[in-house]
Amino acid sequence: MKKSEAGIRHRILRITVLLLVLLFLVILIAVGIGAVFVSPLDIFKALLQWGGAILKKPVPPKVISIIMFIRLPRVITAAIVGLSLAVAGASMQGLLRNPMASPDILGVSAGGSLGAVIAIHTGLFTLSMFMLPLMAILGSLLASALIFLIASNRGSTSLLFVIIAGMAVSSFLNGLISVVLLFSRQWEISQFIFWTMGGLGGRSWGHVLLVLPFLVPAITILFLFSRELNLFMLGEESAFATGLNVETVKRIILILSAVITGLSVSISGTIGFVGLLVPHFFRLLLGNDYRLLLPVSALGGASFLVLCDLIGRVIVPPFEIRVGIITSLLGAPYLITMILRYQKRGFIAFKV
Amino acid sequence: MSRNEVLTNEILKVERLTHAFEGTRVIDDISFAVKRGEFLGLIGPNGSGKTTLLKLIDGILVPESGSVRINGLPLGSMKSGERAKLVSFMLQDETQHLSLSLLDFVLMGRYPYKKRLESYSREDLEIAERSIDYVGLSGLERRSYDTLSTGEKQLSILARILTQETDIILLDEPTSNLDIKHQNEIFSILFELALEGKTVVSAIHNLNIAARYCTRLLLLRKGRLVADGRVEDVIKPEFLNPVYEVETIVSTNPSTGYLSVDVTPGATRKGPAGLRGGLGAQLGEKFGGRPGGRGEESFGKTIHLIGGGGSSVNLTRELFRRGFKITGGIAHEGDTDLVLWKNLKIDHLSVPPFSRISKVEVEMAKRFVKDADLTVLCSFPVGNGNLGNLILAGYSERLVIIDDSEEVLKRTFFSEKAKVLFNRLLKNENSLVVENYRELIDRIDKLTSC
Repeated sequence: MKKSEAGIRHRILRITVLLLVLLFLVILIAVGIGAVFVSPLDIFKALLQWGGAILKKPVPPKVISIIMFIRLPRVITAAIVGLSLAVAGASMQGLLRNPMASPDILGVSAGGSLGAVIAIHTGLFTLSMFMLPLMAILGSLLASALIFLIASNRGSTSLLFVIIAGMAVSSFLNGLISVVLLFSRQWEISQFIFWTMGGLGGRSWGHVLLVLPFLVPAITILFLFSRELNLFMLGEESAFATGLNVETVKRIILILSAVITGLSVSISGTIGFVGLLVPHFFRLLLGNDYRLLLPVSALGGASFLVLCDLIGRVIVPPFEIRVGIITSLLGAPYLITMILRYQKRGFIAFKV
Repeated sequence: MSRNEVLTNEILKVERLTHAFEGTRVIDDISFAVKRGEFLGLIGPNGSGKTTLLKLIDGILVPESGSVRINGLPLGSMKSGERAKLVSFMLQDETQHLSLSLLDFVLMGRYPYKKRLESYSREDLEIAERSIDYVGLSGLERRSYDTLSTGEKQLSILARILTQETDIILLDEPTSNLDIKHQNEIFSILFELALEGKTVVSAIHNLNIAARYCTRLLLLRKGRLVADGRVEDVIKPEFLNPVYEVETIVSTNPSTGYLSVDVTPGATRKGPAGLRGGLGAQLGEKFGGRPGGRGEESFGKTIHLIGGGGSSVNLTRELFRRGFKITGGIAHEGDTDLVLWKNLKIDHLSVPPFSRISKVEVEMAKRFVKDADLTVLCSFPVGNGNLGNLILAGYSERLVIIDDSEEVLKRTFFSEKAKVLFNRLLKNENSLVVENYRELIDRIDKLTSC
């Protein structure tokens, strides 16, 4: 093996290592910065001490608890959610051959939120701690099935059509969330905001451990389908002619990305634009080979969301701006420029 | 493969295939079998079902009834991967935006041979590189697909199809938006592949291309098979005219020897423009004022051409296109001018080859000259055989003489008598001499435009 395959592997490896280092640095900064500043050295010390090591110059227990029980779980949650949404977004874009698709824009995230809200307010979640993520997954699956039915309707699959349909589904589901909250007589603005705008405040190790065992296999399997996602770029008919079992693979990728979205929504609510912006950014930068795009989007998405959450925490102290608001403020202008660009190139009217 | 199929060598068999879209039959009871090494062209007008037929053969569409068999096995029973090792398909309008390297793009053709997680082997790479080389793109392996030209993109799709290493190759108008260089390149490659034993089935829009490269043609009309056979048996006006709803002319291109299909030239839809009284202004003045006995309306609509040796071809074409009523003669059988007049169904008078135009024929042709508003004497050599044409020209009251010094066939005279006759025509006050046919056309255009 000389060129291509080996070439792409080297490329994936190089860029992946680079992004891993970046993610590590971003996490270090995010854990260190806050109302109490903790230096990187102290963070390591705290980790060691927490792990049972006895140090000569120990860090105060207060710092250990800030890092271990407040900041680190929050940052890790941010990384996991960012990673999941970016991967789900990248695969949805590939499947629909639409660079503007993403879990939040298509309403898949809103479906997850609706599932979670139903789980909470019908009391289902008291049955088992897995009920909440399970219901979120169900909600996401239903929403993505719905959007796919609309998108695969012949003759109506222009880029913008899918987006508009997704936004309609999204608004509809957000409306239903509101309805559920109203009927349960527990309607609180903060609840509504969490499930529609997302948030990472108060996340604990419990949240991380709840979703991680399902997220890891789901994302791993999705990564194994990168060759198939590449084939989808040829168009479904050409992919079929090249030997791809289009219908089956489409379902698998669709289900996996819905599951990943549902899981991340169950711990963070609906955080917008990550799934759109991150894969699209890397697509422009590195091209659309999914063997590279998926891992790169994953790591980039993690760093991106950790950074956004950090900005939200430190920009107007002592107040905290929800991470979903930050991503919206960054993402919406990006989406608008994207639409304008595609329109200029005449892609909006194209069939996908 | 059963014994029977080995004997008949039928690799693809389509039986009573029928398909409908929203209640409309687009493929109607089509059956045919293709042998190894055939280059089958699907021809027919837009909407005749070529694309649908190809999609049915590949399995992208599932037929309402009927079957497709490959090597005797029904297509429906095959898994995607198995099928893709036997049949590849180059669809129309594939994505143009892919930021993959050409090599990565072509390697996609190895997909049916790979298990999940199995990476491309040295063999896969060699096959891909060989395909790239085969289509003439070697050296561009590292280039991004996005940056290739339209023709190169089409060639790389062909390379990807070849990398699939299938016995049957389906193509849907593979050169519909390519220049003639790439068009020729792609069809030459396909022709070669068929010679090497691949079976090529392609929808082809351009009948001349189909006639040139295919070994067999299927003519479709509204989903039905109208004709199936060798090129010269299908490319015939009797089949083509009702299907394409035009009058076609099938001829053998004298420069290439290939069959050539053309639509019979039609007059302008506006109908004959006529020179009206305008001719009196310029040409008419020369001809002695107003035409006698005719209304201005019809004046200048009929033109008689005296030609020979191809000297009137340009003028015939240009005048015909402008809607004039043309008559021609006297020409010898086998003459290029005559072939054209016959094809265009122009009234004419002819004599057997190498014979001498006699007084009788001149008398007969006189009515053409008398009926014409204008007679044009083209530039051709005059010998004894066609001396009669100069006599005929002498009967015209409005004669245009084309005295072309640059024409390949110079006006030469083989006899003193001819020279004398011609000089008399030149001096005649009814004659107008123009340099070449263009000048005449320009004058006529000026007259008809105002």
